[in-house]
Amino acid sequence: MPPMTIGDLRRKDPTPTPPDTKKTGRTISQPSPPTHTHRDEDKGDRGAATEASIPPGSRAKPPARFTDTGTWPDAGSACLPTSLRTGTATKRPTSRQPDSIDLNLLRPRRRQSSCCRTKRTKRPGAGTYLGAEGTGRQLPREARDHLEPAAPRGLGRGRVTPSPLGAMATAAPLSCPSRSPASGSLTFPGASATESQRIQSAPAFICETLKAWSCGDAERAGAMNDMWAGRTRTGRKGRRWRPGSPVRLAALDELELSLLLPASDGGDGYGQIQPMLPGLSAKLMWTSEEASCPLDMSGRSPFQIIVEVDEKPGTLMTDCLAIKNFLRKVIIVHPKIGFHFNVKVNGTLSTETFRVENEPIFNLPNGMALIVNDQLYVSRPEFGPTGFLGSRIHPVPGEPVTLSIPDDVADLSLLGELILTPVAALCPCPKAFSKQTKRISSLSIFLYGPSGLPLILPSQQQPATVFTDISCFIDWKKYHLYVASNLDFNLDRDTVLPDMSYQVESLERHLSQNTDPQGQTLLLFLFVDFHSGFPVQHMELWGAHTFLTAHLSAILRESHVVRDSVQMAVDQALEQHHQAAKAHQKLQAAHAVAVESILNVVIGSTSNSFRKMCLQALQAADTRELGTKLQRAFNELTQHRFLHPCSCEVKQLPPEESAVAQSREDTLGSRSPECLADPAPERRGMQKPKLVCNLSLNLRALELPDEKDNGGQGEIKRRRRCVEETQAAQGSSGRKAGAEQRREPPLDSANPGSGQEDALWLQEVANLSEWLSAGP
Amino acid sequence: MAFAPMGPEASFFEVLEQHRASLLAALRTGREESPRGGTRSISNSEVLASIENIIQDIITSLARNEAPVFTIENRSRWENMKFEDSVGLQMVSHCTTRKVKSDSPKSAQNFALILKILSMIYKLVQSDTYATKRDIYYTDCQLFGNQTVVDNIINDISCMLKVPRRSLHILSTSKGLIAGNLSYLEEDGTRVSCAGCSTAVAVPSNIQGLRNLITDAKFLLIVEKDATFQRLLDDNFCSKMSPCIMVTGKGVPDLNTRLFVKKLWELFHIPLFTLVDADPHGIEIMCIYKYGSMSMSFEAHNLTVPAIRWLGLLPSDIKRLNIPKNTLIPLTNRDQMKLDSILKRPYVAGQPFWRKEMEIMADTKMKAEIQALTYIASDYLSRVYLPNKLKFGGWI
Repeated sequence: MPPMTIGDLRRKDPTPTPPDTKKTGRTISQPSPPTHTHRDEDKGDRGAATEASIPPGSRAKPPARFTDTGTWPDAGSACLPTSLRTGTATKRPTSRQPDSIDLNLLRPRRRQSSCCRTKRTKRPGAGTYLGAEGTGRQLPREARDHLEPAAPRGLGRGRVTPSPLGAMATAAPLSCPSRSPASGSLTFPGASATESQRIQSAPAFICETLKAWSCGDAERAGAMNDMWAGRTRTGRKGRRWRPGSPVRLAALDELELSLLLPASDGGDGYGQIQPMLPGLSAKLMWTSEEASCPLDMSGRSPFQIIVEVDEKPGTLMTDCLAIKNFLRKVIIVHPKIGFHFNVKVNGTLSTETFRVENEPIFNLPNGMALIVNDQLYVSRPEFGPTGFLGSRIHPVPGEPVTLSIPDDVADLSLLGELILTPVAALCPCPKAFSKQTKRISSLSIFLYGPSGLPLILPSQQQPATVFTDISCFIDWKKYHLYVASNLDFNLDRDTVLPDMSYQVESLERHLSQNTDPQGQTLLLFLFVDFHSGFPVQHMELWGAHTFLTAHLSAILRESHVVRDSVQMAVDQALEQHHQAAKAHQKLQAAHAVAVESILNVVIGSTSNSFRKMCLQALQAADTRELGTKLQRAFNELTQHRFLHPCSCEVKQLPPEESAVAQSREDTLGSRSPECLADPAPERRGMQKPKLVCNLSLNLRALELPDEKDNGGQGEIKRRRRCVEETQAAQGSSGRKAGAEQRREPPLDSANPGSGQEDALWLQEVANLSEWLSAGP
Repeated sequence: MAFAPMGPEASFFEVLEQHRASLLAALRTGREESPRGGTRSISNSEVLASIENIIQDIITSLARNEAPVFTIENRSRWENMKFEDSVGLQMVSHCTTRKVKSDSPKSAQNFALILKILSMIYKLVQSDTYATKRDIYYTDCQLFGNQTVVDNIINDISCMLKVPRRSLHILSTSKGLIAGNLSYLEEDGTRVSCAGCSTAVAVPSNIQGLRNLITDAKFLLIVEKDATFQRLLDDNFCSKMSPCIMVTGKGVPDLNTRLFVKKLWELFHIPLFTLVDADPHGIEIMCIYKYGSMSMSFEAHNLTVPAIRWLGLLPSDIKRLNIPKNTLIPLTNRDQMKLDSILKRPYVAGQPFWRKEMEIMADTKMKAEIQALTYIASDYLSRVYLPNKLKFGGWI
């Protein structure tokens, strides 16, 4: 039978069927030899063959597809040790229908299509090599030649520890001609080549990380290599999650992965997904776009992972929270990616969407983007209903520095450099002051590895990590501050959970009486990227990620340039805070003088009509009350000025479109996983229900506006419509409505144009400095 | 006057008398009519009412949740100036304004300081007491920062309320000096005679309060620098040229010195001459006496004396007197810019001789101080230069 492609199957059979996990496992463990031919030539036959193997009435039919595809398991399975592939497949239990955990990853059609072309290119005379890097096959001569110059490009003092993935990545043609746009390389409208590469890398990495979480599955399979085991064999403590401790989705019995691609892709997307599939210790299920996971309205294609669990309520709840936090950490640096996170427990479905839309972003020097909506970092209740959240943070990047690898951890695997880019920001924005001067009350550190994937350090390293004593990064004494580690994290919150958190106290706290006890948070993002001088393959990146996970602390401690870079970023961020605080204090002092002067005139006046008019205007009974009301009026003016015309303000998205959208669709009731996991029934003597959960996670690469299509005017019009609709919905009359309208962000807030706002912000800070230095 | 020193013969002042006659004739024909429009006295109650109106507006704005704003006319822009021969520089009726906002970090403090000084003025006017700008500054040095801030705000308030500074009950410490044939009665009844003593008398701080001014002076000499003024006193210039009056503002004249010169002109209509350095800065000071300054243009009617003439040191005198070149100073870039700026001013168009002198300076690119004349002879200025200029009409 000729080889089949998944895309062909999907078009031929839109109705999904239940997967046959045993078949799937055998297929993965026994990869077929690469027999790629041009896709269009064998669509019909493959489709027919698949249809023949699908049981009637089945919802999804991954087994037949895996078996018939023949090519992708080979490519992907080569990315992981054979023992892992085999064990994963053979130990996978049968499916537990109907409830499951779904992990859905949505990606744009066009990107997947182009991506697939890249991965499936066959170069004449050069042998066949797939986009699934590290197949171990013979490379064409020119590809080997491309690799040779890279060999001397080491990591400075050391080399990265070889890993199976990394070793295979180095064997891939890093700069082969087939990756050029003309031959079908992965390109995104409006995205640079680097950005495109990041976007196409992210799903693979996210899947790998999610896979690492499924430690129970891996342990049962006994096939996880040390890379995974080191991370996953440690435990958790209830609902509290300490930084660096492993996150695992406990007792996963089955993981199902289904991929939904539009028919227009012709199934090319599988080539991109292939590398990460074989490593998944789960049952994989392909479904068509007509399957239960709906195609996104914006044309994004979902990539779905379904995990079936039978778990205790508390464990499930903690795992859900940990996964959700991971997703939040991903989306704040991957604005084009979205997730649908579904949990189905005893038939009750709870859905959450993790994605950012129309959010202002800050483009970092390393090519990453950072969402600057402060609501992602600080929860609103902390600042009360009248707080000043809703503005953007102003990240200050430090100088990118090349990290030195200590000799004791260096190895010869990955050829390239590790570049650290620290980014500091104060949250909330120091400009958005309320009535009181803000102090810095906490420090949050977020770690990101190559391609912006969150770095989760093993908990074993915690006591000895460089993050134990953060003063080696930042000189706090110059700010008269000291920090203390905050070990406890509350997972159950809507903001991004930092990897490390510290409490910050002022040494001169007693001197500043007029400070807000809540304070601000200093956010410190540490992006460590990997560069080899050539287009970096996914597996190389993953190898670097793994290496960083194990040795980040040692590397950071070794690199003395890190402190200078971090300190520079922090200095600039705190300088903004210092300037803003000073300006605020001066404004307050000025208003106090104004109030006193007005009162002096009113009190000293002998004109009865003048005094009466003044008291009546502010509805004050006497001059004392007049003074109070005058002060209040000036304070309100200050707030009004700082909040409304503030260029750093961001739009308050409707709930369904907020950064972490909480659209919970309860078919049988409105209960979240946490609610569903309530142990109360047990305490009430009720029979403990069997919790069969269904998590659905959608990783979505948001489709960029088509530049060819009216130069992106369609997207602009859409946003404008959205703004108009929002304004119309606000609808209320008077100045409040006007104020809300002023709070609308610029239409291009989600575009790199937001850098203009940062320029304005920096200009404003400069003006403040100038004004403050000039004296009164 | 009693004890009047003996001066030159009567024939010495013939040209001066002719000049004075021409000035009086011009006054009669209205060509150089003394401006009197701005001398309106404003009562205390009017000042109080003006301040109360401002406070009322601020409270009303706050009640409407609007940021109160002071709107102040731009006093330092040439587009807001107009020139009249009889007045000098004065503000146009509809000039551009600037706003001092209460909710802007940049201007909130200025807003507060204006209110602070307004409240102090309110008290001064209410109690009918006076204070100097320095007094106001010392009430809260830390708040005001420096004296210039107070000076500017007082000028802004005066301009905003259209009230002379004196009516705001704010005085300035006089730095000017008077010498010569003049006596007057101060507001408190003190009789002051500027003649007969080798030391000068300070310009009084309350010019409007001066009464019974008496003089026989044939002319009034305004000396730019205190050093030259003291040298002339040492040389008994006032006695030799008696009867005459000498005034110095010690550089850029303060308000009282300008008010005093203006008062003497209005009372006696005697010829007024200036003795300044032959450099752009000296010309600028002379123009302030004659045509006024931009910053005080809103009060030009009380301050300018268009009848003032330029006696010396003229740039043409440098060549005519063969002043040694080693005593001359090259024009700096700043001097050149200042000179270019003066040449573009509207009043220079009506002064062709001034223009010619300034062009000489621009051509030679050299400037000279009055002290350059001492290289000819130590008392050349008082014995030769000034007497000859006065006798033969060497002014322009």
